[in-house]
Amino acid sequence: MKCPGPSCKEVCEFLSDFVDGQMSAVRRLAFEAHLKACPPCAEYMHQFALTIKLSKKCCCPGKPTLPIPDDLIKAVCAAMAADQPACDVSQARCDTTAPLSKQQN
Amino acid sequence: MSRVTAADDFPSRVTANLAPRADEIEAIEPEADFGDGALVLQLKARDGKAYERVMRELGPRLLATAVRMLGNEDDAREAVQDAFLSAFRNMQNFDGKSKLSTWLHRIVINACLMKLRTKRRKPSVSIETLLPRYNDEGHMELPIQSWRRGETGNDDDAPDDSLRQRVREEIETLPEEYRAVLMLRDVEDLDTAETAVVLGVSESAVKTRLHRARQALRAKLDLVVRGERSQEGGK
Repeated sequence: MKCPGPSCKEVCEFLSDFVDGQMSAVRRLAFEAHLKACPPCAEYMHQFALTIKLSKKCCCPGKPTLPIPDDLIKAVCAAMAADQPACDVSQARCDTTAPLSKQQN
Repeated sequence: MSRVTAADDFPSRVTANLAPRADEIEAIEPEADFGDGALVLQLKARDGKAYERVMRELGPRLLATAVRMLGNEDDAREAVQDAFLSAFRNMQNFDGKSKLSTWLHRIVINACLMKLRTKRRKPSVSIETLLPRYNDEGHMELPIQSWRRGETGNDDDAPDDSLRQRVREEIETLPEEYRAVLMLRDVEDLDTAETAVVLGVSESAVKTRLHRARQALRAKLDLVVRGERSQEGGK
């Protein structure tokens, strides 16, 4: 079978450029012509693109955040207070028990 | 949690500058700031309440990033703690050309990478067998078997827990130099230039590694899919 345009190897080796949109319009057209005429490469491209999609979907679950433990905040604040230059050290202290909104008042 | 201590217990590596240099920040994040000005001034003035506000408001998302990078919450908390300390100690390097959240995200990633370098000293495994092979005419040597629509969550629905777990496990088995690039580019959405700066490699190396990582992961997922089919066939 003779595929049009670039070889199957060339298509597979530059699929990231194709998928990421980092390809010139002319080259992209040649790739698209190849993919249209070559079912194995089209299937490979499909799986390749799906792999990228799955990486994102599976590593970023619905709840993208985790609570920061109070003891972590206390430890960082304590370390920064210990670092404080010889001015008003009390400025660097924080009360991790008070709600943030209250502190800002 | 394994390590939350008073200030004098922090190991010296915590004082390492994980924050990008000013020229690196400019290279990776040219956008203008969006109103972090007053908060940044407070941080530069070493205001403890500003520290806490930043940690409470931006910390949860940063911790989630660290868990994705490191695979467990204990290491992630340590990395985030290191990152906050490094950021606060190096606030003078923050010139406001990027958003504070973006800057901190990069620092957390740096902290995670530093932790990975010290913990994952497993020998790099070749992924050559996972890459496609071609005959003399440039065609693939092995036929590509199709993935049935729906079996890998290839619609717009969220993948189920089982598939999510399998994909994560397969990503974890990639050699570190490939896993790191894939995580930064395809999961954390850094661009090629940003990834190159964070990893200290050329953009060309990032592109090459990313492509190979994606190819290798596709092959691993292919084995998962076809393995399931074999089991189904055996039932």
